[in-house]
Formats: sequence, structure tokens, C-alpha cells
Amino acid sequence: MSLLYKIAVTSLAAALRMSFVLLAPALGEAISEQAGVYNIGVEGYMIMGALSAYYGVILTGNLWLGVAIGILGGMVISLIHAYLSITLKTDQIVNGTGLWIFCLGFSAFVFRTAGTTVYIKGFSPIQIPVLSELPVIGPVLFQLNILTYLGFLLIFVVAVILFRTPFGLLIKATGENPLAVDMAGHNVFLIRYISVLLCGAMSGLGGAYMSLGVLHRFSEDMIAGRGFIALCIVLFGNWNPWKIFVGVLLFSGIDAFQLRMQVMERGIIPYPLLLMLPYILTLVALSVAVLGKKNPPKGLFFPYIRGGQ
Amino acid sequence: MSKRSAIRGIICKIVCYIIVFAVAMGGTSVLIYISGFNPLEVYMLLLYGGFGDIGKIAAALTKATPLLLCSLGALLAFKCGVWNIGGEGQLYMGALAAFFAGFFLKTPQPLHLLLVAAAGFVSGGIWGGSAGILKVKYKINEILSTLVMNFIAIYLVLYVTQFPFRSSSMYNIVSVPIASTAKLPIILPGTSLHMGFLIAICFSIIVWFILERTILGYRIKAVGVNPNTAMYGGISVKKVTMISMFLGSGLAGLAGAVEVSGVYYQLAAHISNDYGYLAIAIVLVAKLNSFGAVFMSLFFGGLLIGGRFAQASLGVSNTIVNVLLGAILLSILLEPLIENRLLNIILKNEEDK
Repeated sequence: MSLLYKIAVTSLAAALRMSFVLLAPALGEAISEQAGVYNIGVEGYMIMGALSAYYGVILTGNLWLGVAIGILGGMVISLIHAYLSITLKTDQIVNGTGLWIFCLGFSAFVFRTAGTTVYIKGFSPIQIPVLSELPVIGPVLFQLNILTYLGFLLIFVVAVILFRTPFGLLIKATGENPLAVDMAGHNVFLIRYISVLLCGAMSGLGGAYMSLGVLHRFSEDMIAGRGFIALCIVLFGNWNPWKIFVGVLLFSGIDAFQLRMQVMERGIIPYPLLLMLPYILTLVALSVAVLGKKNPPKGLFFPYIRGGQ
Repeated sequence: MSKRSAIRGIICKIVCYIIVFAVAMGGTSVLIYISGFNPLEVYMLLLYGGFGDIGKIAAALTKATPLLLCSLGALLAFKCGVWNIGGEGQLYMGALAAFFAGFFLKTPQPLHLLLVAAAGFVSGGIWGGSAGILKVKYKINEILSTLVMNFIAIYLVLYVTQFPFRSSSMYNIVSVPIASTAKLPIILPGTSLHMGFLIAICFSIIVWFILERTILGYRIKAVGVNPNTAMYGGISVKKVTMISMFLGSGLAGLAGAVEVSGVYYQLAAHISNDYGYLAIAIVLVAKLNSFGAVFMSLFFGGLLIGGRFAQASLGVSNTIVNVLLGAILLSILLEPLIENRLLNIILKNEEDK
């Protein structure tokens, strides 16, 4: 088996495995943005998710409890964002940036104080019988861990909610024209709170997956801008769950590729340049996304004030 | 009556800030207490470690220098309504260019220093300015582009220090040293305080002057308040945005140059200690006020040094300073709520009389 083939197969498998880290936050952010609230602090939610999931597993010894605590960690931060942006009607960008910087400091402090660098077993791949032994497809598609499969399910769920349910319609209407939603007798504030909390929960889940499913430990700079990459992907995917998935695959593919190259082809390309690749791709994708046709929700960034101003 | 209400407003603002700081310090205290330390002792050590004696103050001012420059850069951009959160990356690019200028050029010292500083400023300015071009030409969100460019810059510096210009040091990822003519002189003998601090203070005055006393500053603020109104008023929004982005990023780049030629004398892979990110928080806490930003930068320069001191003597992690800054920032966001409540209480009291 040639080396290139091996790199390609392992990269593809790793791309799918890592896709969940970006997929969950991007889907959550897509929901929240369609309801009219931008979460610059997704990075912060993810950091808190990763941190609380890691210590959740260490304290409880149960992986799923850890995941739940990670989700909760993301939700707590997003609740603050929701309160500031929706109830107090302050600037969403300022709130999000503030929360992100707070989470950076907070996670570093907790991690350095608690100081454990235990390797946790985390989620390991499930070998689906028969299918996992197929060439190429086997190792790529049928040896992933359970959360990755859940991630694929999540795309369906979000797509159905957004496009096929009354609640999805309400979310989108709230982002486009909150006044109309209010006139129709629905609670704009409640819908926005739910959307932001969903975003927080899913970002927390993405962060939790980073520490439990990918790295099996916590480190201060582990999220490394992935929250912001998720924001770029939402733009790139035009708020559509399926297009977002394509974007996520692109990014986690290049991310997985550079990680493989670092490990397997030591020294051909200096590793800092490999590390740079996903970010360069983000910049390119951002330009491509913006040059294409875009229709962001009209009410995005604007707090809803009952009775106008 | 109007005079009275003005006084009432000021008192309300002051009380409001006191409450904000009390809330932030209270929250941080709880965290310190949970992690097993005495909050009061930690706060005392933070202050003593940062401002205890002349040597500590000098160290604090050295630390505050890049922070101050980054804050001024962020301030210029934020005033214009541009969310340049790429100060970190611009600092790295400035440091990179300053290192090249310091390493390759062979000129007498004053000229060399000038060239190093200019290289840092221009390099940081171009790095952030390109995000500005993407914004005004193609409407690409500057928050996302500047943040992503941070990582590119950081890895570029890592590459340069690790590969082409690697030094023989085994412990730190640092480059070979710059020429001795490119080193900023120490202004307070026996300490680490270098001339970069004076440069930063000069730029504080320049930035204040630009913002408050020039037409450019007026235009920057007008665009920041409402770009549409500014446009109808005949201001070229794109041009002003570009200028504030370039100048702001340039100041962050200058911070990198100052670190290279004043502190490290070489390029280090981790040349910034999150100065770019801390500066964002500082400017937001100062509510985009120039004096507030300068004061907070100097104060937090001291706290950062104090944090190290507290870590060495107590064992509490020095990241407590970052937590404190984050907590202050979060409680500042609650300020409108507190202010409304306060005004209500005051008004109610007056009605009762």
C-alpha cells in the first residue's frame, strides 16, 4: 500500500472524525443567526464546553455525564450572552467578544489551578461488523465513534427543524422580521433565548467532543480559533445545514490532512506552515463566501424592542 | 435643576463604576477562595508585586508598553466602528519585520532604531490594513478575517524562529539575536524599563490628539457612530475606515517591534503574552475612552507583573489577572442595568421628599 494512499485514507477518516468539532457549533450558530442573534463568543462556548466536559469526566468517571456537563458549560455562557443581547439589548459584538475573552482567562486559570493533565480514554471508534472491513470505505466510514454518527444525525434534525416545522419557520421569521412575529402573538424574546441556548448547547457539545473524542485531554489553546472558523462556515454555507456540512468537511479535511502530514511525513514541509493551512483556507473560503450571493437575516445584530424606539 | 441633574448623573456614574468593580472583584474572589487561597492576600500581592517599589514599577511599565500600544491600536479601530480583533497577529507581524530590520540592516544606532520601529509599524499596518481592504472592497467581516489572520501570523513567526533563523537555545523557541545597534536603550539604569515606554506614551498623546483635535479624528468618530450619516455628510467612509485600520494595526505592529528591540533582543515564538487580546478587553472596559484606555493599560501592566509575583510567592496561577480583567469586562456590560436601577432609586427618593 503506497504511503499516499495511506495518508489519503487516514486523512479522510480523521476528517470525518474531526468534523463534529466544527459541525455542532456551526449548526447551532446557524439557528441562532436565523433568529437574529450573532454569537461572536462561540469560541468561548466551545472552550467552556471542552473544559467542563474534561473535568466532568474526571470527576464523575462517566463519559456521557461529561458530555452533558460540557453542554451545560456552553449553555451557561450562552445564557449570559442571551441575557445581555436580548433582554438588556446591548451590542451583540461587544458582549460576544467580552465573553470570549473571559472564557480564555477563566479556562486557563481553572486548568492551571486544578492542574491535571490526565489522559482520558474518551470515545473510541466503533467497529461496525462486516462494513468496517471494506477497503477504503471501511476505515473511512464505518470505524468512527458514536458522536460522529450523532453529528450526521444532527444535520438531519436541524434541517428538518428549520425547513419542515412551524418552530423553524418562527425562528427564521424572528430573524427576518421580529415585529411581525410579535404581532402574530408569538414571544420574540423566548424564541431568541431558545435559539441562543441551542447554539450554546451545540457549541459546548463541539468543545466537549474536542477534549473527549479528539485530543482526550484539555489544553488551554486547544480550540485555537475553531469557534471563529465555525462562524466563517455558517457564512460559507449560507445558513443551510447541508451546505454547512460541505464547508465543515472541507475544513476538517484540510485540518486532518495537515495533522497526518505532521506525523507521517516528518520534515518535508515545516510543521508551522502545515498548521497555517486551515486558517489560510478559512480566509479563502471567507472571500469566496462573501463574493457569492448572500442573504443574511435582516434582523441580525438588532435587538428587538417592543413598541419600537 | 439641570445642574443638579448633571451632578446626579456624574454621581450615578461613579457609584455605578464602583458597583461594577465590586461585582467583578467579588466574583473573582469567590474563584480564588474556591481554589484555596485568601482573596485579600492575593489582591494585596497583585498590587504589591506590580507597584511595590521602583524596580517593580519599572517592570510594570515595561510590561504595560506593548499593552498600551495595542490598546491604542484597538481604540483607533473601535472608534471607527471597525472590529479589529487582530491586534495579536499584527503584533507578531510587526515583531517579524522588526526582527528582519534589526538582523539584516547595518546602520548607526539612531537610524537603525528608527528603521526597526518603522518596519514594525508598516508591517503590522499592512497586515491589518489588508483585512481593511477586504472589508471595504469586498465587505468581508473584519472580525473573522482579522482573527483568522492572527493564527497565520503566529505560525509564520513560529516558522521563522524554528527553521531559518533558529538559535542554538534548547529551552525556548527563539531566533538568533538582532544587531546591538537595534537594541532600544534602557532609560532607568538597573531595571528593564526601556525607551519603548516613552514611545508608547508619545503615541498615547498623538492618538488622543488625532481623535480629539483633528478633522481625521472627527471623521473616524463620525463613521464609528453611524457610517450612513457620515457618508451623507460627505465623509469617504471607505477611506476613513482604511486609515483607522492601518494606523491601529500599525500601532499593534509597533508593539511587536518594541518587544523585539527593547525586551527580547531576538524574535521569540511566543513574543506576545496575549497582549492583543488583553488590549481588546481593556479598550472595552474603558468604554472607548482614550484616558481610560491608557490608565487601564498601565494598571494592568502592573497587575500582570503582580500576577507573576503572586504566583511565585503564593502559588496562585498568574492567569487570575486575565480572569479579573474578563470579570470586569463582563460586569461593565451589565452597567446599563445597574445605572437604570440607580437612577430609578434616586428619582424615587427625590419624589418622596
